[in-house]
Amino acid sequence: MMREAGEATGMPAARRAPPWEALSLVAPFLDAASLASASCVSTSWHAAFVADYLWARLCAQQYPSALALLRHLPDTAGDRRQQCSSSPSSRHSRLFALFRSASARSRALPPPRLALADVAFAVDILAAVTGESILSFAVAAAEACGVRNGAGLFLFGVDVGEHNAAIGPAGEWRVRWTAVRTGSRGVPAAAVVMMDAKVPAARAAGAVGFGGSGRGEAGVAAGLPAPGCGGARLEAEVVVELAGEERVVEKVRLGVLCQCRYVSADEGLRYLQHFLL
Amino acid sequence: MASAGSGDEKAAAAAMITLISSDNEKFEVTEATATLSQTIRHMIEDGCTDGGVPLPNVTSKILARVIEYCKKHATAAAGEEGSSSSFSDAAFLEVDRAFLEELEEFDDAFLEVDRATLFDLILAANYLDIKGLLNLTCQKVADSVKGKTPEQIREMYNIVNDLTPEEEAEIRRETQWAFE
Repeated sequence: MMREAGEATGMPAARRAPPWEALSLVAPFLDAASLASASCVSTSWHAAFVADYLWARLCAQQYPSALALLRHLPDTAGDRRQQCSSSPSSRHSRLFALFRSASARSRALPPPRLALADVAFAVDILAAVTGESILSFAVAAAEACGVRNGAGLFLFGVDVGEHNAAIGPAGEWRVRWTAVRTGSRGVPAAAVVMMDAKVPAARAAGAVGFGGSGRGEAGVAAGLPAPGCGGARLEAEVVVELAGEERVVEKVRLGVLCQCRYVSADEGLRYLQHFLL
Repeated sequence: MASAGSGDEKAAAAAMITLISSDNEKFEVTEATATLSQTIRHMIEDGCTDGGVPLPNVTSKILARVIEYCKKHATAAAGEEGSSSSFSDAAFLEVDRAFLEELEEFDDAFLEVDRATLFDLILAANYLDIKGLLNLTCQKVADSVKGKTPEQIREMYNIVNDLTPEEEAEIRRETQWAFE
């Protein structure tokens, strides 16, 4: 008997590993996550905690419809061979894992694979009629944080007052906003145009002479190209903050919206990674 | 209990059974205590307990603990039965709750044993078919594993990981959902 063998070798009782017979008695008392963790411990623990009846019971409790699916899933000859091999996982444990990860998938999106630190923006503001450049700049996304309450959102602000770029009293303008993944570690850079749009004339005109301050702003929003998998319709928005009769561009705000709300930085990055990764 | 018991019950309570551990130690217990074990209950029903009940799978150290558990729970069960006939409902509930609390305290203290003893108790409870004790001890082990990583479990139970790196990677991959 195992117990006596342990005592015979003089191993202190408290240092003995648990007897394998007891493991399968304990198994029905474990929840799914504990079973999964315990099955990684050793060969005998794996054998005790991967037993098919344990996982069949958990499937029946938590995902009853999964059991009906079992006959549609690939079986069997391969499985039986596997169950005799050193790494046998039961059909029901795999079924449980399938449904468990399914519910996790719908709860939370994975974090974006594209980091904000690897993204830069290039913006051109052009005279609508002549196509002459009024203002051009490029900025790292991580440094374009000049928007109050913008933290955590895909919303960026760049102070451009020192460019002293004026649109002029009656001018209309176009905006081209390009998002760039700056290359790193031998990976080539990639870029996607977020917007190339003319500010509507009425909005451009309305931007002049706000109150007594001589300041105003005018924005343009345009639908973003759908990523390969479709999904919610997002819009890019570029707003210029203007000052004085000559309408000097003081600040440019860049954002991505979904149904009139700025999306989170992560959501914006998840969108961009469709094009940039 | 004494006031409520009939003559037959007194006789039953007085009947003693001898249990013999694997290292040949003898334990005298009442039938009420012994029959918490379904295994022994069946032996008694079959009338094969004369000369003592040999329990070759249970050491004297573990059997002493098992008997301690059975005595307490047999008393509690008898106390409840006795009280139901001799107290008013309110008083009965009061006594009932006191019994349960006392029993819970006993169970908690009973589980304060080293891990090897805990597993030996599980095996003994299974062999003797004592449902309450099996539930109690298995739940204790289950609680100790809950929320632990495989590494923590190995350390806690002094287990050598004999999986090959390939096997472990495969099992980890299949149970990935549990670690997210």
